[in-house]
Amino acid sequence: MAEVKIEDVQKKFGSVLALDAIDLTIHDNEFVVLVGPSGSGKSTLLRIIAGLERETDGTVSINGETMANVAPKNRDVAMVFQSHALYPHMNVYDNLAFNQRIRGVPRKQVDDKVREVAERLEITNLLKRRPRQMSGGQRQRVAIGRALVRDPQIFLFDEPLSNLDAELRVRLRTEIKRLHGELRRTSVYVTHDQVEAMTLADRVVVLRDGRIEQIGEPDALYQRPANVFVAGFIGSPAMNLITAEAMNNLLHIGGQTLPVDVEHNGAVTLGIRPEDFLLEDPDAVDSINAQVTLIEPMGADTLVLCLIDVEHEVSVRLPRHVRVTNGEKLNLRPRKGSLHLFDPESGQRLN
Amino acid sequence: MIDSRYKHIFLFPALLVLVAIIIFPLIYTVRLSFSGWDINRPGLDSVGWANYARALVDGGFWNSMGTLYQMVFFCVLFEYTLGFGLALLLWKQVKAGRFFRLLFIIPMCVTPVVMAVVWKTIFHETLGPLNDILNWFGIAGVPWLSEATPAFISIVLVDVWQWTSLMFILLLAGLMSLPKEPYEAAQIDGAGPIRTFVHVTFPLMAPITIGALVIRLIESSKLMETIYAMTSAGPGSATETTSYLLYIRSLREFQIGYTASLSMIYLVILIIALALFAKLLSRALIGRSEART
Amino acid sequence: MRGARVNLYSGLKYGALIIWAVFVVAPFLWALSTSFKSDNGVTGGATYIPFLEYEPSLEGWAALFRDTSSGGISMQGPYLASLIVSIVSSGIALTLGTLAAYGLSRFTFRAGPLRNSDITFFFISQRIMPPAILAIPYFLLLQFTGLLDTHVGLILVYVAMLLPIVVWVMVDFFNTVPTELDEAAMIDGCNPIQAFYRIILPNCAPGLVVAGLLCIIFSWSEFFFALTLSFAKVQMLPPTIVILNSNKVPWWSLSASALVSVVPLVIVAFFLERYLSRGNLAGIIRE
Repeated sequence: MAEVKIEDVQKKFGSVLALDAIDLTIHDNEFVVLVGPSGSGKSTLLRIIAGLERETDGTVSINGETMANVAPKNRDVAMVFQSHALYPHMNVYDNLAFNQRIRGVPRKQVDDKVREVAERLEITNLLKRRPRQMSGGQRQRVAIGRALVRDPQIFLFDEPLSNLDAELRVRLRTEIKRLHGELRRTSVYVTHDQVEAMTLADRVVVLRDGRIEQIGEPDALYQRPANVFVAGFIGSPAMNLITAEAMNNLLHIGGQTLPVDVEHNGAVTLGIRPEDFLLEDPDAVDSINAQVTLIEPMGADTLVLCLIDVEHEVSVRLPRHVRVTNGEKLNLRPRKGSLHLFDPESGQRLN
Repeated sequence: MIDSRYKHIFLFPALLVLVAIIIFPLIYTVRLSFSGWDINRPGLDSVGWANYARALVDGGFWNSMGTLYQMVFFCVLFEYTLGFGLALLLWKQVKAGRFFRLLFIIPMCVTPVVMAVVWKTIFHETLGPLNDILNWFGIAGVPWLSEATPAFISIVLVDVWQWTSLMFILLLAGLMSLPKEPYEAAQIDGAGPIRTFVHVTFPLMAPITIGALVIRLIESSKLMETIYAMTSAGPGSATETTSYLLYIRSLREFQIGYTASLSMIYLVILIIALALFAKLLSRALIGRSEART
Repeated sequence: MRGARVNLYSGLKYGALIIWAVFVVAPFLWALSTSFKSDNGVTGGATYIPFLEYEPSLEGWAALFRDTSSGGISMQGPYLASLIVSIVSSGIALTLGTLAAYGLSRFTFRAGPLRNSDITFFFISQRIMPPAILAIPYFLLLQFTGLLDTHVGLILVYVAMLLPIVVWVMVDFFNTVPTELDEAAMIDGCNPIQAFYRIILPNCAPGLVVAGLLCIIFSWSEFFFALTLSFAKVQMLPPTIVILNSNKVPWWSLSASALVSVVPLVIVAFFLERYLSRGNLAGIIRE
């Protein structure tokens, strides 16, 4: 049982506010991903949970116990670092065994644990090697192994895949997901890559400038972003955001109109995902005219850049077999319920 | 930030030793400077500012500062220039480079005072090899240790022999840590070796230059051992540096109180001079915005 | 044409290096040659090559370990004293200094307006102190505590002198070791002290070696305090040799004793060069 409760936590470095008003409960066995651009405070929050940093204000508790004066080693957490942080002067076996030995675990038990983890991660053949004799991917596997040997109640990951090349990243990401499926341990994972966040998380926490922008399941964040920032951050290719005007349940974009269900009257920021545009016949209703300016074939789909009334640029995702030409006039109809409206000043969701 | 309860265990033992062994004696010296302790009147009494007043008109003391300044100037100048030159020569791959590096590092590792004793025999006017070699070239023997200017030169020579290696090591390490890109750019631009040095190497080496110069200035200000072994500040007081003078006045003539006041004046001037020098040099070489304390 | 220019340049380069090499080696060669001389090799003027210009003799070397009463120098006493004081003070300075350097590198200290870099600067600035100024207080202090003319007294003084060097080298060294290593160790179950000596220290060998070698060099060659704070019971090597100078000791024993006393340092120089060429000294100086 490992529940982490973060209540009204604030963290200052000197006069710089790194985290503010953080309220978050991580449930038992949950895989929570903290995601955000650099400087958003996600690593700081993770380190506060680990006990490597101390919160300036607020409470952090694990299983109901406040952690204010508890050292990292007494919190029963394990951490995988971005730079693997393996001990350079020890071989893999010793690296894995270290945390057991330092707690006085009998030798036979240590050996069993290490070998079991090594097998699970398929690194048994590396046991005698030193960190500098291994590749980046192997080192990171050993780093994960070190955390597994600990068998803690909480796993912490600090951007573990950021230093790896793209292919390796995808592979290890899948392995982490598989491991979590098998072990089902409370885990907190930090990344700046929203794809990682979406694929790994039970719940996602989006952070920006030290504040939580939204917490929710990946799907919820994708379908109903709470504000403009989350809307633009989650999803790749990014959501289109254009200025429009709402009046009496009608949306005016440039010179064209679309029906919309919202109580707001006035300027809005309209968000619509590239894949939520449907190609229609020229005489269809509830659709917009747009002119193609750029075509980017991406293999499975094609990304088409279009201009609505010369002013507003949107990207549209079309299936591979649909052919369009540069300069062609298209008729686009947004899918039902795919219009996201945000207040242009506060960025908050309106509908 | 890691568990802060332990941090004191790390720092304090060393800090305590330093405070006990250097700060307290220093404070004691300040106290001494206000006493008239000498061979006739042992003990810690109080004479107010008398010592300092006397110090201000002490010709020997200020002379020694002048001598020190001149010596340090020439020593550090030559050591820096020669050291830089040697570093440049050994920078790129050179045959037997390793051998030369090892050879060049030896002088700074051996006991200065002992080598000074050896050098004294070399400088001997009639029996020493230096004058002998000069004679081969038809140059008359120089009264190295018995006349003011030659004595000065001999001290500088020995110091340069000893400490050029330090500058050499520091500057070589600096050169080897320089990035390659500016050089490739200069090469493409068609810069010759001299221009490359003036516009690329020297500016890039600015922080190292400052560091090395400050290190050497601090160490050479204590110039005393070589003089003790070779000239005993002679002839007369031609090669008397302040450190030597302080030694004589305090431990030979036992003017403890008075020398303490000389020490304080010297220390204050030294620290101010060093700080000024470092700041001015920083500004000159690195520029206003980047100059640090 | 290009080939000739390159050759001239290269010739000048090697020429300069060789000239300086000769300059470096000259005093050693002279001392070596002189150590084998006796009366005839010296009093008639400078001589250089044995057998050709003078009759070599082992008198200089024989006198080294002979008792002073029979005209010898009896170097074993000072040699031993220097050995003991150097090694012990270097060991202590290395221990205390490395601990302090680690603390300064990893933790934040604050004493009023002073922060870490000020404290580090405080350590390093102790080198500005001319020994001549400290001579009186030390003399009085050691006399008062009965440590004058003892090994312990000298060791105490030397440790204070060596600490700045160790802190200077090791702080910069520790700053190059990423803090993730300490953090991983502490999450794994170490307290800061265990993290220090089980994880960080084993990875510090190069820095420790350089600091240690520098300590040995400075303490072995130290002259001033050895001269003023010890005389009869404890005699250190450098003062012993310098005093020979004024005792009308013949040049040959003088040269021999000088050479013998610096031999350990030449060995140290060899190791120092080895480790410096591996290390990142430049980072240390940029400070």
